Amino acid sequence: MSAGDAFTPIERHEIDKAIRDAERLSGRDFYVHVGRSTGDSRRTAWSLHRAVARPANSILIHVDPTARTLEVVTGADVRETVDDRHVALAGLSMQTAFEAGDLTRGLLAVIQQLAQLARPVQSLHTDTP
Amino acid sequence: MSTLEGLLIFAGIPLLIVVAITVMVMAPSLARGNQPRSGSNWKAEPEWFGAPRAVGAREAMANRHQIESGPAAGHNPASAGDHDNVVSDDHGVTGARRRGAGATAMGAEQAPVTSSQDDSDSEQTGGASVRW
Repeated sequence: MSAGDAFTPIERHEIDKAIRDAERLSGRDFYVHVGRSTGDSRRTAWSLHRAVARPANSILIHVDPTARTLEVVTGADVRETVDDRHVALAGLSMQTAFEAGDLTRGLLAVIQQLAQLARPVQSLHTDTP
Repeated sequence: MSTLEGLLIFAGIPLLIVVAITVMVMAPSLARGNQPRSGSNWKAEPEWFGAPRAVGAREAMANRHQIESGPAAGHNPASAGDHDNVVSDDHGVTGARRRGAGATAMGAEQAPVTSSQDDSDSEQTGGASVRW
């Protein structure tokens, strides 16, 4: 890992795999951005979320290690099924790992929790009698 | 058994085991180098995960100072988003939100924003902010 990299190749692979798994499980698009915010971290997260391919169907996780903040932005479609309070609770799952300096473990925890939250609800009722 | 043999067996072997365990525990953090994992000393390059669809976002962030004026600024409108591909510059926005420790759900009614674009975002999107 060079001095300017935040993650090792193995860590990148783990995060990429977690994103793929989360997308397969939930049917939503997941994005993770790790870097400094331009001004307020929430507004930076909104800016990043606006720029992705399908914002309404996307969940963006913005981690600012400098400000020690994690922002989760859920698109309009995602928001219909995923409650903001549950997203906040999912965000808390990264706290222990982040405080120990392990961004990868924290991110994996958040991605997995959000994937579970965004998973389509399976109805017990069917059209067939 | 001589004294030397006893010393090697009863002190040397446990010492070797202790050293081996220490190396195994320390190895991952040593492999990561001295890069601070968070805080004001963070100097790593920003990283995107979720490629290749995030390419548009990466380009947008790189060009955010150029694209404020809209499509005429030279950014490819097809590269990202349903929102005219405009990424606002945050430098001019006042009234930054102050957060305490812990998590805060950021619904439309809870996000104090000033610009119209942020108004739109806070109404259409959900999510949460967490500090650590």
